[in-house]
Amino acid sequence: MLRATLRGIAAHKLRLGLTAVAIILGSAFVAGTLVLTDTMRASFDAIFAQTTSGVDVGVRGTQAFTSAFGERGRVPVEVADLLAEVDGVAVVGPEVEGSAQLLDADGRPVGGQGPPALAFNTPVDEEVAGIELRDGRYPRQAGEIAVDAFTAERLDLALGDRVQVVAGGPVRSETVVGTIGFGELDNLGGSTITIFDNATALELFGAEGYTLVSLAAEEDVSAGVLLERVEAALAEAGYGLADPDPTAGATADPGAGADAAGGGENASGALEVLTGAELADASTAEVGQFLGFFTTALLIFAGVALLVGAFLIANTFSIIVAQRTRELALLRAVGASRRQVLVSVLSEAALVALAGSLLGLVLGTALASGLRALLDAFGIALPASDLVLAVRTVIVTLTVGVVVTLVAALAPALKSLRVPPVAALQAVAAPPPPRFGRGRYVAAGLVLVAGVASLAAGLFGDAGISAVAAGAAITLIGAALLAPLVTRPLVRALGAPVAGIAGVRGQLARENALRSPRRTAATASALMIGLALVSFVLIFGASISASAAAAIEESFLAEYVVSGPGQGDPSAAGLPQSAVDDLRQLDEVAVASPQRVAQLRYGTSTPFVVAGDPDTITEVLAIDVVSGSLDDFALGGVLVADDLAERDNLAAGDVIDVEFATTGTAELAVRAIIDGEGLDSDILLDSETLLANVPRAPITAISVRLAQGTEVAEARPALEGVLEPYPTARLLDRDEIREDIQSQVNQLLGLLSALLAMSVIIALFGIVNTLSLSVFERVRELGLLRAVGATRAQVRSMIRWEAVLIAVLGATFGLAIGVLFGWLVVTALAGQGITELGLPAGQLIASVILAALAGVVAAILPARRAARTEILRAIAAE
Amino acid sequence: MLAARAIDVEKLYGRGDTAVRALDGVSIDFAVGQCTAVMGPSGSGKSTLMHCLAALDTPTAGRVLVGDTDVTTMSDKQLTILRRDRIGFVFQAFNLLPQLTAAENIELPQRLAGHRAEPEWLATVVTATGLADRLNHRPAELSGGQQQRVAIARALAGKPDIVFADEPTGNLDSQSGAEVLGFIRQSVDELGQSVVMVTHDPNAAAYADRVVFLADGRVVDELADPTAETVLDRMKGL
Repeated sequence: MLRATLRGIAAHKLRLGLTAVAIILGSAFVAGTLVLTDTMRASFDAIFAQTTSGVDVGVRGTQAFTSAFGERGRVPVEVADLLAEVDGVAVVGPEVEGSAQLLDADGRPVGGQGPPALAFNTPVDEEVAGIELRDGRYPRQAGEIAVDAFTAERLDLALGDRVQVVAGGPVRSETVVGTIGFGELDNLGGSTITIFDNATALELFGAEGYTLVSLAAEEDVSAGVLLERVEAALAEAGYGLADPDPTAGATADPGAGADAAGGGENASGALEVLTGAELADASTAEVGQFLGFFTTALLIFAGVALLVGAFLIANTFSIIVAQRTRELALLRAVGASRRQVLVSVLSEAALVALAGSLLGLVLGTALASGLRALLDAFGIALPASDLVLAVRTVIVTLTVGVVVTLVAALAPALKSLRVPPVAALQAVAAPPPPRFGRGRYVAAGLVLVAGVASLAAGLFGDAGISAVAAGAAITLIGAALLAPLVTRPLVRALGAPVAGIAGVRGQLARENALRSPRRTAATASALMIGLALVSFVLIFGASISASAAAAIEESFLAEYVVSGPGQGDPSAAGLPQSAVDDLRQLDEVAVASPQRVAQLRYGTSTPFVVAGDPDTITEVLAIDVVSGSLDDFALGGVLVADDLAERDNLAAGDVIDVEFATTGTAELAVRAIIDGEGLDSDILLDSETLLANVPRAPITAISVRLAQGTEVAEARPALEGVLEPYPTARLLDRDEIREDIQSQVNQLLGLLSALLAMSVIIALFGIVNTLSLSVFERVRELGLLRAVGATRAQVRSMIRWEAVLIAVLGATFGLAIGVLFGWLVVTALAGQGITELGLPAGQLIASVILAALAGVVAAILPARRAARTEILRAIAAE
Repeated sequence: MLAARAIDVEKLYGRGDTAVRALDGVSIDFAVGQCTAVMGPSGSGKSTLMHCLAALDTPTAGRVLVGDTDVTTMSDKQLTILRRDRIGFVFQAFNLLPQLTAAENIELPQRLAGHRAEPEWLATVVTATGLADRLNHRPAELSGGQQQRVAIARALAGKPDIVFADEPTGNLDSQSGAEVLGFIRQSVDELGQSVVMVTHDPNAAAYADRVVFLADGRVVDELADPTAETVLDRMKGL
């Protein structure tokens, strides 16, 4: 039987090749994701190992949870002197880390959009800091800087050149006196790095102390011994010590910071002492957490691609089994048992799956290496570690490929068991598959309902994100099972204009698509999945834009907003207070109200919160008070959105417990419950309260209300003039804010669509596959058509129109499901500021047209094959 | 005026030592308004001759004329259009597209050309073939004889220069076969159609005006006004 299977594979290279494509692409996605993230992880490990290689013990502040801002308590400056006195300390390397943006010759910010723009003080000891001088010298006084060698090259900076830098305040002009590297690396993962002299660095970033004090031990003192001595010395001096568990920060273990805070005078005084290895581990764990999200996100898209692939595989195998009825019956007639036939079909699937996943593994590894080369080309230098092909990657990729294929091939294979031996002798080789009974459609309908129910439970109830994902997948499968039911009327309707445009070719295309509604439906369903998700993403994006626009319209009172760097990237430096003060000096400006963003822990979550200036916020933001009053907002209070208040049963006058990353727990008085519609966050703080707890909370935006009688356009030159010293600030009027949001949404849509493209491509291979097999089945008809006068071009056109019909059918299914998903999700997120359901008709229609065009592309090969049909052989075939 | 003409037609399959000479210098004229039967034993080249005459295959040497058009120099596209507009076909089986109705099958060549058949002519053909009440049926719902009549109706609908029928009754019982042959005869007598019919059945050949006998790729004999008996006699002599 194995020989028969192998022969079968050899005889049907094309169809199996196309099946393999689905497996190859799906498993390549999985393998590529795993290899890429493993390699990045290894690269970061290497970076952290490099930067901490000279550190025996590090002392730093604590954080209550891992915030996106990376906030951490500071080490008081005097601690460095204290540590120098500890027995066994050879070198004390105090470090101040901040954010500084270099500007290019045209005044545009360099970097900081992806990898951060970091700033450090001049290292006391290169080995301890992990930094080495490449050229020139370190800065010694204000006005001098050193930059990383890669950035120097990118900006074409030579020693002695002047360069503009933004580090929190107005733009500074600095002289480049040196370039630095990190071991063999010119750069740390693409970040731009600026080194200031110690005094300047402390002034800019170190008002509350050092970010880290690294210690090198004397030769005969081990890191462990030094750590104990340092802890003892700090404890003796009255500093609170936190548990130096490197994972505490990364996992945001509740209470770790708070417990530590209990030991000292206050939470901000708590310090943690770690060995160099622990420091590296802690950083690795933080990056690992981020890479974990990244891996999960990519794997979700790989899963979608595999789901589409499963449809394609199931469809291909059921066509193959139908076409091989006679062959299978012959096997049965000559004595093969049902079991042997089943094993034969399944082992064919398994062999193709294994070969496909192996190729996918190779392709995925190549993809990962290509992506890395691309990152390298963009200046995101990662250490030259080799690609990491973990054993786990190999096992996961092969298992996923084989299991998905076998599951998909199981139903068609079971169908092959029903082939009676006598079928070998019957004239009709492939009887049309029986139409689904009513019972099966009822079952399919139940699957669909179960999927939507799970989706709703996840969205509206507490079932969580995995219920949403499972619900979406089940809904799609249910829709695919139901699809044959509506395929006939839909294809008839869609085919009517086609027959009008393309005459008899269009009519034949429509009739061909109708011949096996299940096959057509299954092929279209594969495309449905991709299109459903694409249209969902489009609808979701449009809803975000529309909601934001509505919020601006309703509650945003300012004419202009000055937006800080990093497009909301919380780790970027933000705007300085001086920019607010400068704006307030202008006659044209009535109100300039800064907005700050921070993260705090509230209950079990760590939401982003917005802090506004209590004196001016009502001038720029229309706040609808549901209950309570805004009068006492300034006095350490918070405003809570009505949705959150309802959820947690809060009323004005209540007190909520929150925790800040570095200062620990705080009690905040709820001053008012406000209408949350159009607000960026559910909790609104006054800026004093926030600054007391997060001193470096960046100003992310300044809302500007113009003076009475000032025309919006007229005010612009004056505003631009004032903002000149702040090149990272962007001045936006109301239309530009909308456009800005739109462009951010579009960027996200572009990324998601690109990730979904893989599943659409696989679905197109499904169309190629189905059409090729259909062409193969219809050789005789094609020959007849050619004999009675159809030109090759007409035959090609007929196949193309069939492909277009299938593609548009799939797109229509997808659109219906996408609109359902979009509506459900937008409804569920109404409380989170997504108030409008946007239906981007143009984009949705464009996606259907694109699907139709993709159908044309998918038809190229089958159409060519059909047009090449040899008339004589076709009509001679018995 | 001739409906079709073969002049020194040769057809070789394969190359070198394994080459098979299917047609070895065949010259035949087919008169307008006549039904010609082409007969011969298996492998005599009768089907190959018909394929060459009907622009389905190209001869290795010699010329084929349909009307006064030389088809041997035409491109694939020109041949296709020639078949569509000037030649009618009736094959032994699988004559019809299963997804189209009888009416749609009949009009298929005209619709491929982008126009409709002449309504009066179509009505004449449909009435003559007795298909009036079967027009909206699909092939699967028609008997074998009805299917062949639809094929003949299709062949005639475009008023072709010539109709080629390849064993048109090969898959039919004798009663349906006689019906179909009767109709072919009728189309020649009443509609003035020129027909070339390949058959191995002397009874079918008897419906023709003339029988041409082929053996080993050559014309070996000819018979005018055949009957089943005279055809059978001649075949015994081959």
